[in-house]
Amino acid sequence: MAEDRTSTPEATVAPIASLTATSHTPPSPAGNGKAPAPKKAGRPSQRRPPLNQIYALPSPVRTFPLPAFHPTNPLSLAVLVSTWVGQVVSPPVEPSVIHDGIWYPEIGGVHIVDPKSMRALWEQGFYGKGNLSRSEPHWLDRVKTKAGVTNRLSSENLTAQRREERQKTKWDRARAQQEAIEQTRREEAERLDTSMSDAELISEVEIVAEHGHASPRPPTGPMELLVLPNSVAEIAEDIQVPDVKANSQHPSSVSPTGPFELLSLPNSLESLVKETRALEPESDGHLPAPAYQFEKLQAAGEISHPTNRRLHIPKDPGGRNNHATPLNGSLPPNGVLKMPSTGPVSDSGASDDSKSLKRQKSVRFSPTVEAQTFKLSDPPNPNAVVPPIWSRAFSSTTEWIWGMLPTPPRISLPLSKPIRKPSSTMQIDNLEHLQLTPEEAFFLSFAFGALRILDPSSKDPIPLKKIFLLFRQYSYFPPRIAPNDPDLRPDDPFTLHYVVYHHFRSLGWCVRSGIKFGVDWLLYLRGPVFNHAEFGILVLPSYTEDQWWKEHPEEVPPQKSWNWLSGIGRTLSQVYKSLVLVYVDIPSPRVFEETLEEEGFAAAFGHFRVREIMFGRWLHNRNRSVANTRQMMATGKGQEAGTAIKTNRNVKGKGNGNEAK
Amino acid sequence: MSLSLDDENDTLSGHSAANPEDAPANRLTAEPEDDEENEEHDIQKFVSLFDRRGVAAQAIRRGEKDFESHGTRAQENILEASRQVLEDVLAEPRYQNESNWTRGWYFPDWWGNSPLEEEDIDLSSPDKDAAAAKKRGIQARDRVVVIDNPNSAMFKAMGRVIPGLGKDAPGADKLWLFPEEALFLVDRGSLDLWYPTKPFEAMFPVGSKPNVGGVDDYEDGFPLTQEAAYALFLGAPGERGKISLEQFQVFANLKRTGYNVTRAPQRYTPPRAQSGATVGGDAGRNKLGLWAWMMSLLFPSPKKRPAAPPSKTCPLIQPGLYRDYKTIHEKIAIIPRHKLTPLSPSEPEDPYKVLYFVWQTGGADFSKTHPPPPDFYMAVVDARQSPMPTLDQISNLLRTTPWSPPREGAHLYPRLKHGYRHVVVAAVDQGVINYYRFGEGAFEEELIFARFDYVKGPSGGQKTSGRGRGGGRGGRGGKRGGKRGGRR
Repeated sequence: MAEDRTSTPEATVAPIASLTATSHTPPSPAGNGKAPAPKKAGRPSQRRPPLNQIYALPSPVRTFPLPAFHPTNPLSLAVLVSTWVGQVVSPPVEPSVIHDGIWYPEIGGVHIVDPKSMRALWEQGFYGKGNLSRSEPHWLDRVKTKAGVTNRLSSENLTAQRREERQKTKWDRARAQQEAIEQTRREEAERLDTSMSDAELISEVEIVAEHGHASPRPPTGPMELLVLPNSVAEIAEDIQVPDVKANSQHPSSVSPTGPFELLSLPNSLESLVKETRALEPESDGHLPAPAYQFEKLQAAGEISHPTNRRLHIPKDPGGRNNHATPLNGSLPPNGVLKMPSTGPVSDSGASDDSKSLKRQKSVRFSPTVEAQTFKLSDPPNPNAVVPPIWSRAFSSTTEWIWGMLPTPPRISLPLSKPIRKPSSTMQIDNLEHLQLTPEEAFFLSFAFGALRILDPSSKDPIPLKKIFLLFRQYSYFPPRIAPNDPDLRPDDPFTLHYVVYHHFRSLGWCVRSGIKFGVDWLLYLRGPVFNHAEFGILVLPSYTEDQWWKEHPEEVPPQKSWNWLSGIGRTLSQVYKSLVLVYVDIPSPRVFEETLEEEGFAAAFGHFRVREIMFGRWLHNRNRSVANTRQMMATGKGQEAGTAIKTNRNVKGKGNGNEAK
Repeated sequence: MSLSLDDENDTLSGHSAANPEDAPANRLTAEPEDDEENEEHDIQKFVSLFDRRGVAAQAIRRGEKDFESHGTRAQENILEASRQVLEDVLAEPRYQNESNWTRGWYFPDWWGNSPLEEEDIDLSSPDKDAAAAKKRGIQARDRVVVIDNPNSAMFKAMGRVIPGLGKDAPGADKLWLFPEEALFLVDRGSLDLWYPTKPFEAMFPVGSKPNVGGVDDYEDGFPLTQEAAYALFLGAPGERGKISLEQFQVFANLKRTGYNVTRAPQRYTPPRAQSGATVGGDAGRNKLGLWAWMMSLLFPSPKKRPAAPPSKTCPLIQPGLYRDYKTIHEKIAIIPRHKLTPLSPSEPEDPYKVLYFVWQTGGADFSKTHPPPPDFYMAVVDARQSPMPTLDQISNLLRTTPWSPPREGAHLYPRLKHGYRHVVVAAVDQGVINYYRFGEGAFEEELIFARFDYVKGPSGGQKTSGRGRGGGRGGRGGKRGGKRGGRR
């Protein structure tokens, strides 16, 4: 609250007739004098002026308030007098610019093609939509940014950037969750380890059944996988070893290596033991699958189970390439693999000592590295071989794994660096035009007189009366233009929606189409650039005011169902807007047409009446107790008992600056 | 990183883990937040049960849902514990204590021809006329069940004796229930409904104790089943002594949630506004400074209603000089706006008619004879039979609710959303209840264009004014650079 607001609107109300002359533009306090010209994106590093400057005018009609008079400052009186005299001598005429729009009956809309008018109508009240943009007509800016002429980011770019950031945040959050789970699992595994030392002799089946998830710190990411001793190249090479069956038939083709060789391996026997225990098959009370199948699972775990991320690289301590033991039970000699059999496995090495017990795992290491690839759609067929086509399709296993992972978020570089070098010589024609809905166009020309609507072929202005008729005719589908078409009704879609549009525009709201949110109109406090729309308007015709409708019930369309209403309410509350049912009382056709003919638009629209009914879900569990209501009011979850709509706009990270105080 | 391939992993490994959390893997199919809230209250009610069984209420976890098994013991334990708790709760034996045993007798016609007139009841003056206040909401003709031994806490908020008939009127000193109340109690297991085989006078003689037998005495009548109760009490909406299924479902739902609910009187005058609440928004607008006053002397402000434009079809804004946006917007205000008025005579029609008065819990103790003004006014409709209301229906309905303007000093959006009257409509679709709140909106009370004229500081670029509370709120000054995209 500043003291210089002595010039309240009442203070500056002046009879227009009493003033004449002067085209002098006063230094408008609201910055009204400087209507921002359309920006020419000339220099690459040009900064956009602040939004308040661009969108200084709330409507295409400018005002010329008299400057404030401060009794303490005599100079202000001089300014006031000079301004007033200037305006008396040559009064500014508003609206000073009358834009041209072309009516296209095929499209049912009005196009603005002059770039200056496009900018002006967008900036002065947010009228229309760029046909190549989401709303603001800045296709040219986008193209120039892309071409490197400028580096200005359009709102579409910023939105895309923000979406990517949001995606990354989600990604990070998911990873944090997975890490927490991993941590739990690790702790449980440690606990399991201590308990296992007490129960060495328990057969492995039981162990497995009881503690399915003992896995200390597996390599958890593809990057870690890559730094494992086995390089991708090796995997790719060894993928050529196709015949699994052959391998299993010659389990001893690579002779068991001695202790020396074992020690020379990257992983010593001791660590191997650890590792094998770590790679205990994951099962909850289920017998482990045969090795081959299990490997598939392992590999599947690589891809599908983020917590279970470990590359299963077959290494055979005994030098056997028995990683692909077939299901039909050709067990390796030392019986390290368990079959889905009943009862505990008591093979030779199973319960001899802890070491052999722990070696009973499906992970084997071999000096040569092999990889197994598979398709998830494949049945767990142990005899399956790696089709060479896979190894061709994916240059390496790792890449294949990457391919299976959901696409990680690509954070695109901010477009601060133009892709190409700025070339001031490049000429790009603006292919975009601004399209106005009939309601917008009619409001601009009927209310403000700021738009002239031209005939598409002759380019002559169409009189307002004709325009109104055209808009009404074309609001039906098919258009009611033929002589024997049904009569136009006072509740034709154009008139109905225009009445509501005009009502809210005349109250000062910025009204825009609500089709994206399932409603008829959206209400912005100042404009889409400044804040989110808070209200969605559903236009509902009402036929109860005029007696004529009661006498002609067949003319009255049926009421909508609750389900329909509920669906719209749900949609809107999902985007944190509240639904307003706007009932429009429709006059009888005769009254409307006669008034329109005899007294003009203003009188005809005067027969409509507009009522707003606020609508929302009422949650019986939230309004249950007085304490609940108070709490909700304190947290701003619902401003009063009975509001289901959240008003806390900070949820969206875009707090409402204007209303937050 | 939770991938849907997990399920497949399980199938491959032969896991047949019947993990119930696997099923609703899709967040979209999960119930939205309010239904979680629903759950919370139920659980809160069970806290005492948990305590008795030595289970902590925390065992039922709220918050983030797990949609897949991630194979940790911790997760399994939590799941198992909450399953166990629910099982325990369900296994809790339900029995009726003999000391709490309550019996109701079905006398549908006792008050059927009663001469009691329903009066227009003024809700705003509870203490002015004590006798009238006592009669409020009696509607004796609809009361069909008499209680012979009211010894349950439920009767704190249910059932009324019939006042105004004197001591000698038979049955007037008994507690009489509406069909929905009786049915709710039967449903809940709190009421034993009996069908009498003797006339009322024989069972309840004036001036002496009820002449009725005990639990096992079938001389005077016989107990009815729950099915019989439903058959006796359910009827068409508006039928005397009955209640429609939808209306009963809403009643039961609200009672179970913990509200106090009574039937609204047939005719009533809603309580008047407590304070001299003004029609909002005007407060800041009438402040005229000295300068404004001088200017208004110099340039008398034009008439409120804009003069018609010179021609029938020419633009409303004629070319010329305009001092402010107020003038412009007054000129284009051609569509009649709704006028708010605190007065409210109206004759609503079924089903868009207030059926229940609803009170929240947690305030002062509820007194069924001297209830405070209701917190909510509720109408019940069958969502399949009646479409959404017409303007007449909803405005008539709203006019039977009290004038309750938004709180003083509320901001623009809350003020608009609050509205000036509200009513809750319960739309029941085959037992599924959805409550909607309708409020009388008043956009015409908030003249947004008044903000256009609030000027910035003399230097133009700085925001020095127009941001304070009151009239200048918002102004045109919010700096929101860099936020140009986003949800529009």
